[in-house]
Amino acid sequence: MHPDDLMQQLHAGCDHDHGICHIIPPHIVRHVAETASGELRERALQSLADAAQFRGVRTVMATLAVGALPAGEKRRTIYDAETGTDLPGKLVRGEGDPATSDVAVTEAYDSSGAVYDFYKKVYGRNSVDGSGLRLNSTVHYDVKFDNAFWDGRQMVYGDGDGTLFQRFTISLDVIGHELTHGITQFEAGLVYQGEPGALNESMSDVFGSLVKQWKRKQKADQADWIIGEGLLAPGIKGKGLRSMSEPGTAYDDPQLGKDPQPAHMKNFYKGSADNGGVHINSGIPNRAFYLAAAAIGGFAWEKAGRIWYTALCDWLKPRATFHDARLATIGAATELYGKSAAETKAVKAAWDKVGVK
Amino acid sequence: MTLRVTLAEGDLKPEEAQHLRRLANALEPIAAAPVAQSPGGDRFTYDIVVTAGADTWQASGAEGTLPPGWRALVSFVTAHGQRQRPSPA
Repeated sequence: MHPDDLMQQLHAGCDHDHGICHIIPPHIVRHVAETASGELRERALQSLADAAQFRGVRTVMATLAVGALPAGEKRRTIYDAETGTDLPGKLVRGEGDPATSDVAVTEAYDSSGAVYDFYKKVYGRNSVDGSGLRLNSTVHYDVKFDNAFWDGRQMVYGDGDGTLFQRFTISLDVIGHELTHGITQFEAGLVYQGEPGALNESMSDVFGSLVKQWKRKQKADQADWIIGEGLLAPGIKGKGLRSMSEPGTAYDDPQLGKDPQPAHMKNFYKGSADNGGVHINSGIPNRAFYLAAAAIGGFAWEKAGRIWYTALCDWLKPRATFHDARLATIGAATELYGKSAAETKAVKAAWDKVGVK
Repeated sequence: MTLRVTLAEGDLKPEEAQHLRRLANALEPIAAAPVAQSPGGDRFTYDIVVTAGADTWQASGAEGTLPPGWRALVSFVTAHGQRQRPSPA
């Protein structure tokens, strides 16, 4: 049987308890993962991980006879949707493979590697799930697709329409943003609606920006605090998609419109569009993070980032509000640095300044 | 940000217009209950309106939840349509 045929069947079938279906039962997939090599083994592992992810189980690798991959080893796979919408698409680059001439493939590969390295070296986290989950990316999704997204299992990138947006792999902070949605999914599980959704978006902006700052070795006062830097097409008036330091100022263009983000609770968006304004109201916690990072000083990933990461992993619940995020980050800062520490005071002052009590 | 794209049959070459009609005729019925949102972030939500004479069809859904016929229509309209000025939400 050709590996592709086997893999097609691995992704279909029935597990009635969980609504997941397999024609080939899991014990055969497991045997393949334990005894095969190369691409067949990799895809069997991915199939087991996919099924485990739907059941909310994180530690698939720990149960296999051959054991987990060495800790800290990233596994990146890049696919090409060839302007279609079937995922993941055609495999075009695996971990350790040489670069191709496709710049989007190269950017997705390099930047997802940078995000992995950031989380591993700064916070000791082994991939999105904490257990070495393969980082799958699909590029060239659809035609003139003006977006990038995390679909619950992988990242997906469009090429942009060329008039408003360039290709979405062009920004390291965007790739960091999308991967962080995966981390949030495995950690706080912030519901993608209203205030928890805006917190979900903000966490992705925070760590998307921090990956970029870490890669560039920039301190808080040197960073641009822009999300989607380089993403806007030539001629569009703007710096990027969002500004964490000055929400509402990222762009103002006749074609694109004006950045709608508020910087303070007094301008909180109360409408129903955008899942209750998840990309709009994220400006408020974004600015809170920027203010805390600027006040603490130094490299933002070291203290402010650690406080926010601890809040994301240990404190926040799926339906957290902005008030809950204030309590969570103050709690995390207290735990890390002490109740009267300058870091804790900076976090409190930051939330005060954006109007979150 | 809301990105709007519109496409009129009359703006297309004959073979493209025929393809558009085929896509519109192949649209599946949309379930009354919305499909539950699966994990993820930054997915587009599509609001699609198809008008043919006095008839109108509508569908809404997040990326990954639209039936294949509707998704194919979205791709075609995005590739060939006219973009309007985005609105904030």
